Amino acid sequence: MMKMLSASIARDRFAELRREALKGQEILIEDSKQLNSPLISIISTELLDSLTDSFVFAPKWEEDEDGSLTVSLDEIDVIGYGETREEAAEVLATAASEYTELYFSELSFYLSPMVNRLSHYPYLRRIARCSGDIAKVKKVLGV
Amino acid sequence: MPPQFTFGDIESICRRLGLSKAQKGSMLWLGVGPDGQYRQTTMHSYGDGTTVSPSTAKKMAEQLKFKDVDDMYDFLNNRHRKS
Repeated sequence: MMKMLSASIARDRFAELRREALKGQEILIEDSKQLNSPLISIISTELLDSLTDSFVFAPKWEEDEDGSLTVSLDEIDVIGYGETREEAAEVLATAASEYTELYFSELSFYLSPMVNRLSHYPYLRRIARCSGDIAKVKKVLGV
Repeated sequence: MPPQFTFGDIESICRRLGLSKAQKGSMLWLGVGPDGQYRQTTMHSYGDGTTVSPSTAKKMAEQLKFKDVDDMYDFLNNRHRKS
């Protein structure tokens, strides 16, 4: 059974809840002032990293007659291209990194019903955890 | 033979679909078009007159929500089309 607390109690007991979260416990927080308001969770970042690690990118490569390459990530609707594999990978990682930054700065837009890109969230979270390091992003993308 | 596009053509298509650069110097173009659909694509331009490779054009057509490259070519040449 998951522990559920009101926001005010959680604030008073935060140090204790943090220790429990570090052990793997997910703690649910409700807004006691608002009936049926959405819950938030306190969860270990390490645990969340492990959970999102299962969202693996499957880059698709295509080569043209002139040897140029196009690489795409259907998971997040991003493409890269270049005259060499290295160049295409660099363009892809940079574009994916730019998209990630934009996505998390405009979450309400990307999660809105009109755009509906909730499925990108776990993948982009993995990129966000690279903190803009393109070499790390390429590793996460598998390119 | 599939239609050919230059990066200038793709930029023109993007602009008509309501896309713009995510920010100055960005290679990500995105926006919501007249049809209310969100689109994004990567524009790492090698110069407006440079030809886009067939595989890249195919992927761009998918991202810009055209049926295929022929449909994207028709859009480029038909100014009356909104999307």
